[in-house]
Amino acid sequence: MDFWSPIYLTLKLATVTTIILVALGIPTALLLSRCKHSIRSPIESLITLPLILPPSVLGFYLLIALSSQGPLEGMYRLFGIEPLAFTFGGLVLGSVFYSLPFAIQPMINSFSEVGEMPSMVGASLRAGPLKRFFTIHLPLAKRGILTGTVMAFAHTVGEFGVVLLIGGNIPGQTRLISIAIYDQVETLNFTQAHQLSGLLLAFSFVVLLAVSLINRPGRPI
Amino acid sequence: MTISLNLDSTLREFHLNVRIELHHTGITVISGPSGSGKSTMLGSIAGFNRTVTGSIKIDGHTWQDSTHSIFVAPHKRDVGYIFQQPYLFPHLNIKENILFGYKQIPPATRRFKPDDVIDALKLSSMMEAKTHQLSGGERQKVCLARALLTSPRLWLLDEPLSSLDVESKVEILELLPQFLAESKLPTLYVTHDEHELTKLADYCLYLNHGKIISHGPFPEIGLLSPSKVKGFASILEGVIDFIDHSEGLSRASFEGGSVWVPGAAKPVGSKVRLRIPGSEISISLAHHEDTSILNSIRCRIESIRQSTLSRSIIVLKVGSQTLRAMITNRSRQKLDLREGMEVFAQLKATMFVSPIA
Repeated sequence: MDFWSPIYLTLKLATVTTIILVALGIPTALLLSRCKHSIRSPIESLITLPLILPPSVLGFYLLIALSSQGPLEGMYRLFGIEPLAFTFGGLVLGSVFYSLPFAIQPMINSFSEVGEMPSMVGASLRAGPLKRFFTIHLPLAKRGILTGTVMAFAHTVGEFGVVLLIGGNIPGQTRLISIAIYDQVETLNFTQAHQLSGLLLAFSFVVLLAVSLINRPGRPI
Repeated sequence: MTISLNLDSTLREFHLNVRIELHHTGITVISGPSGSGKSTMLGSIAGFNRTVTGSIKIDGHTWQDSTHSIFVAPHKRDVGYIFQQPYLFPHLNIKENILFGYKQIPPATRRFKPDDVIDALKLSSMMEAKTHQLSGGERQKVCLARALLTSPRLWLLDEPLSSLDVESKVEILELLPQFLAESKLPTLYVTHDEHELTKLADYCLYLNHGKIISHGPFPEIGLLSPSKVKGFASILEGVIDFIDHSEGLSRASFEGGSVWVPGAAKPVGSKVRLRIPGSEISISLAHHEDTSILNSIRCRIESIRQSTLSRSIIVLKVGSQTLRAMITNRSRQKLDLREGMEVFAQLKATMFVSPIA
């Protein structure tokens, strides 16, 4: 069994997922932090749901949704694409849902902390919305954005339940590190299980250390 | 410059309803108790308050007109806005903060040079500093420089001194009149502080419960105290022409008389504004020497208005200036006061003196 294949696949999945989550998360977090409407609470609850939902539940529903007989059947036929279940695309979709709260919550907190004052001052100094976004909001909320980015990546690397249900265990396509470890243990191949587990352990520690360093008070980044 | 405002806004219990047209340069102070709608009014002109309806026209430019669905975005309204909190962008240094707005506007529309403004406010030594190294007063000066460099058409200052410590307050209040005058821009200045109002105002607009209760040129209009219990006060402008150091008193003279005021700190020749509460003025028909009252000014009764069941407001002319006295109706009847009569206004020397630039 190829040792590097699950590692490569995991990094690829985490990278694609993180890019999507950052692109999606920053504007969503900014809008939600501004939102004074009562709709904010249900939206935030929905985004946070994967945090407490058993991964198998999320994976199960996604599997039903993505399968060839699922609600997306018409769309698959219309665009002539293969069902997403048991494919890399399906994994990306599942990971985006699963890691959404980890990416977006730190961003919402950061934007809320920045408040409305900088934007009002920026507007009074003739900066339009786009200019304010890039020269004021992004730099002021960068701790939250960086934390969200690192957490999204790390959390995607570590996921198991969701990807097992919607991706299965297809080498080179859906077999990620966590699934490979499960596989090795099942077949009593402890040496490789040790290597992969040690790798994830070290990786997780480094990630938490990075998050802690990013958020150390008073330290410019 | 014509500023034409017609504003309506309802936010929970609070209702703002302001209709006014202002035609002048100089400093218009908007005053009134907290919660009277001063800041809401100023924020609406800047476009920060989207719940407000009505119209805002500045020199023929329509910034808002609800009936035609016109709402010019805040960043397209050329105002120099100064907030209560002197907010500087923490990720930029002082120089970058000062130039933030300057860089946003087209070079052809820039009317002020950064170096001139930085020199005028004595900021050149702190250009490379980080924002947290500055005091509140220094931050507010940076805000003034930053706002002026956007070449605004109009100043909007929202209680710019209220968050500062006493020392910074004094410093900024000293430089503001000259700074604002040299910018040659009309100014709307929100404050509930009588000291700031007395020192700065050319025109005054009093708000209460979201409505304009009185407006007119200052000091003629006098001071309306935010709390109704304290009533109102008049302002007399004069020049210090004699100082009695042994007794710690200064004499302020004006057309038609002079008064003794406490303190000997202001040099001879300084122009001052004297704040005289309506309840501190008593009226007599003759000049008395046998009284503890130090000041007695000859004046003429211009008009008499009964303000409550028991009190009347007597409007007095001293030269071309106006004094308003609050006396009881019983005293008014006892002295048989009538319009046109020559009387003596007696003032205690406890009035508040404010130098003007």
